[in-house]
Amino acid sequence: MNLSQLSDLAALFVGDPNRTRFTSTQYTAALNRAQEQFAFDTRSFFKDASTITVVDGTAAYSLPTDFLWEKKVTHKGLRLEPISRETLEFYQRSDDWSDDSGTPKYFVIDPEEARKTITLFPIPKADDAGANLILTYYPIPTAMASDSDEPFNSYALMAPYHIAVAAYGAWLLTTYETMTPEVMAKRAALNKVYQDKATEAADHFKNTASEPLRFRGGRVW
Amino acid sequence: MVKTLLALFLALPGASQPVVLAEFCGVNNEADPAAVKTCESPDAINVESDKNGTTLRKRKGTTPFLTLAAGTAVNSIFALKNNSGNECLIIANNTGTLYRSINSGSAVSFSTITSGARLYCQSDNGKAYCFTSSNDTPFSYDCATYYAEQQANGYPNGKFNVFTQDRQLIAGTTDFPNRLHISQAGAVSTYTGGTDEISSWTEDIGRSGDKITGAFYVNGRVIVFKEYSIGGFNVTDQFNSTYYDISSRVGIVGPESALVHDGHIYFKGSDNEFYRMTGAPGDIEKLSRKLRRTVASVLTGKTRYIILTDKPDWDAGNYNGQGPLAAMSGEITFGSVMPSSLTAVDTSSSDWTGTKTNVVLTDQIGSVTLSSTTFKDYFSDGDLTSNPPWTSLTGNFQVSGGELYANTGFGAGETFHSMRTPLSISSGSWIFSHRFTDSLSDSCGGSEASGYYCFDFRINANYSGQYYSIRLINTSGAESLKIIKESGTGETTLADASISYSETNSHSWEITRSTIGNISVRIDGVFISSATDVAISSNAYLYIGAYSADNGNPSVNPKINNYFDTIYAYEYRTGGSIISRIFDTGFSTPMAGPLSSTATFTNHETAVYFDVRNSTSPNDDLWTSYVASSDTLNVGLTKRYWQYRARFWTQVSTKTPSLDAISLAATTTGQYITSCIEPGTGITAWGALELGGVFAGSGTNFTVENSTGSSCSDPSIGNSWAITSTGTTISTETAAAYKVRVTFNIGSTSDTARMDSLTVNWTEGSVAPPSYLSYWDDGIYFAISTGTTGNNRTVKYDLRSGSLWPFDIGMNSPVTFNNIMYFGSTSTAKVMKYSANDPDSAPNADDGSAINGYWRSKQLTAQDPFTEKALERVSIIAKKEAAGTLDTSWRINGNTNSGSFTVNLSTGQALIRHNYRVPVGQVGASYDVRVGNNSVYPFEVLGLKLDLSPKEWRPLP
Repeated sequence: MNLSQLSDLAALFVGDPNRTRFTSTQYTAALNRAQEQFAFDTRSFFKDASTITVVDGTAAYSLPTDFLWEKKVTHKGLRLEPISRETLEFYQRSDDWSDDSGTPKYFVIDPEEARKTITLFPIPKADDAGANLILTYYPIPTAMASDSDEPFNSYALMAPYHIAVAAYGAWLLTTYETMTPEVMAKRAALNKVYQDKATEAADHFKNTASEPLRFRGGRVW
Repeated sequence: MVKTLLALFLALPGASQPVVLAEFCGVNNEADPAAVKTCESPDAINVESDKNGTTLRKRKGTTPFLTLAAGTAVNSIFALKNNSGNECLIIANNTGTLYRSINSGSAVSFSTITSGARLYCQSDNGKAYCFTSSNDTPFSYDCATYYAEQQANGYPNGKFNVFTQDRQLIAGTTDFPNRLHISQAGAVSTYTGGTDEISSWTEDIGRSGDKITGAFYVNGRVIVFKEYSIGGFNVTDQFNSTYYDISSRVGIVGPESALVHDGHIYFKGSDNEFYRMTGAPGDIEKLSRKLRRTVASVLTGKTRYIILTDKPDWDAGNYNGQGPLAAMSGEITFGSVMPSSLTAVDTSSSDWTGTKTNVVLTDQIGSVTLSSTTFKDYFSDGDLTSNPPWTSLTGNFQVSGGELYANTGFGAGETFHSMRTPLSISSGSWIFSHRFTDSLSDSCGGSEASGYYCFDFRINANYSGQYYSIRLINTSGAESLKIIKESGTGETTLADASISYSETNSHSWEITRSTIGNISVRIDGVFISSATDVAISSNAYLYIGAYSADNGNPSVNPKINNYFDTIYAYEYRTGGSIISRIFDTGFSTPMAGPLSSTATFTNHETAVYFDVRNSTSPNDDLWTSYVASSDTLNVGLTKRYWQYRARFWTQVSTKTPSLDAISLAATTTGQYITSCIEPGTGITAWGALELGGVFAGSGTNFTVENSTGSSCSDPSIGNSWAITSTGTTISTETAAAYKVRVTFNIGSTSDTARMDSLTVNWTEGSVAPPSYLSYWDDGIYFAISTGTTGNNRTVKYDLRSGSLWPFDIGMNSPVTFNNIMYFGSTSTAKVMKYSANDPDSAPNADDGSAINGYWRSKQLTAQDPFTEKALERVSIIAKKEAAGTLDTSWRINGNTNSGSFTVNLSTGQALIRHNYRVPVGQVGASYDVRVGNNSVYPFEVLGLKLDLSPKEWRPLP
């Protein structure tokens, strides 16, 4: 479903078939928040690769703008392990780890707004340079704007879960309503539709071979 | 309990509360939009309810009906059905051309009036009787023949009229704007006055200068409007009609502002409010209370005026603009200024003190007559020696007991007595009395051809022996009278007449001889005989001769004795004159009137002639020569001092003309100067000066001059004068302060030039144009202006519900005829049509242009006005139309539009139900909803519903 269809469906869910109760902006915003929430809740939607060119002597590189959560990182085909700054500082107490050079073995994700970088450790040298750093991650779905835009970056595999986007969007919209018993009942119903679909997606896109072990039937909360 | 619980539940936050609008009862912009009734609208235009008030619909449109050949607007329309059955519209455009349209035919011009004037007509017996706001010549018109009303018959040149059952009342004349002219009963064009009950008469309503602004006939009485008052007039006749007050607060500014319909008068008052009244005392009802803001938007500029009309007003000015005395007078008629006048009357001896020649005042008391030569002897002095002296010729006439008688003593037998006395009267009158002392069965005495004569009374006797004699003859007891001439050749009988002469009574004889020789004799006032002779012209004495007879026996009565008494003879002088005293008119340049005389004369025998002269001084030689004048002729004297001369003439010595009375009239053409007039400071436009009064007579008018200054303390006022106009409507004066000098021009002293009022008109602020009223289809339509100087609104007063509905139609002079309302365009030379017999065929556009019609609800607060609500839904039921939409919007807390939606009226069922979910977040204390469209399509709304969800109470603001 595209944005127009999702809006119509959400309008029906909220009892606003002529879409007069809420504006198009409100519908679009609610649906975009819904796909984001669904992507976050299910981690069923990721980008395979994002190539970063490694430069001699440069440890930190910008993350993609739609970066939400990393899945894995490889350098020259070798998997890098995630490590935190605190761990590095814990194990290397007599030397400043941030100026160590060598072929990278670890990566540090700095998602805070001020940085939004991935930092390699140790600092690559000339032999490590080149377009050889591959980042696989869960992105924030591209916001829908035009009526023809589809959620989840138009990923066909996600089509069965569009209804969850509509339901969650409607759930969000009914937040504006006066909480009458009728509205509250409707909100509960909409939430259940969403939760069911989220669980289904998590089950469907369960662990792959490249994934670390996860509990079956569980969701990443 | 159930209701309480339900109310509590509905009052709980979240429980939707519907507000249903299914009744529409007009506009109410008087109160706050939150305080009006649910069915009322604080803001609506071009919509109305159906006759049940259950639907709201857009008004119908207008279409051109007639296009006039000239003009840029239509000022007036009057509808008439004449006696031929033709339906006729009489139309006046804004440039003064009159048109008529017969049976919806094209407009044909038929006359003109003053450009810009409004036409006021009333119909009677198939004819329109019309007047104009500019006092053009009144006319009547039956859509076939134009009749200019004959003002010579007293038909007033007013501004408007009204008909009762048998009379026509006209008001608005310029001379007496406060006057009702009431026609003769049954003769609506007759205003000649009279003293009968059916006669025409006038009624002055208020003071001179007050203006009657309208008159209407309702419920058997005439309702008279002025700008700020209303009265009722029970018209019966000039003796029994009564007037009563209805309001002293409000009136109307013009006759177009009121309408009579079904026993009520509807009118737009001078305070711009709408009213209704029956004409009963105190019965007046304001209809426009709920249109306060509409009324407030009507221009409130007013035409103000100052009236000089009371004596103190006039006394504050100067009556003495010209002349040694006060030329103008405020005393002759209190409350008016008019020329002083003088009427000099001579009618008694004390008046005729001037020089008299051959005239006397004593012969006829109170008259002037020619003097005469007079002989009298009443024999009261007892002798014949004096007063006058008689000379005995024969016998012995004696005087005894105040009588003259012939006596010869006893035994003397028949004796002839004669005597004479000087008297030089050849013509005139001789009068005496005569009687016998015995029967005339015997002869008198002497000899006569046919008997005996008794006495001889000779006139014109002279010393040549000539005379005329009047001789009484008795022959055997039968009497006759002869007129005899003796011219020196022997007596000649000129006339001989038998008479019947009583012996025992005294008889009055009268002999007259005219200057042309006519001799006549009357006895006891009865004509006996006459003759004409002129042979004897000289005369010297009067002669009497008579017989007496005595048989000498005292025991036997004398046979006969003639007794005479009261001999009186006179002859009027042929000519005489009297010069009058000197009259001081008091005016330096008087206007002379006609000489009026009362005289007695006989044509061709006697006459009185008049001469007049005048002078600037009574005592010098500045007198002009006498100029002949005559009775009823204007003497034409122009100087202050006057004198007349009456000349008497007779050619019959026994007759004198007599002058019993004479009068001369003088008035003045002087000037009156008002006190300083200083109208005020808020003047935006000046109106005309108006002079009210009586102007009768050829050439009667006023010349008006102004002297201006910056204020009344400006010493230059009065130094120079400029003529502004001649007449009663005077050119506009624009000075801040000024005096008016009025010169009274009259053609004669019988003319009347009386100034009753002087009105200064001006305007403060912008004045609303004339408002009009018309009835159509259970509604009274008030054509008004709001904020402009041209009519741009028509307010419908629904007679069924009392609701008020404003339309944005600018109307001039709407009139309903055959269930169609016609009106004049305010901007084109077109007669427009508002309605049609079949409402479904009426247009939905104004001459093809869209109509912007809408209705806004009151500020709706649901059940609890103290909490906020969320507007959840708006629901509408509307009638399906062939095309068009219904634009719906709402506002929160009366602020700018908060949302809107459009209903397509051309799809769906016959009754379209449109439910609209209002966007979320529409929270406020009150809501109003507006429905309407601005298109050439109609709409009709049957109901509206708003669903409001109350919020929790919270501190506000």
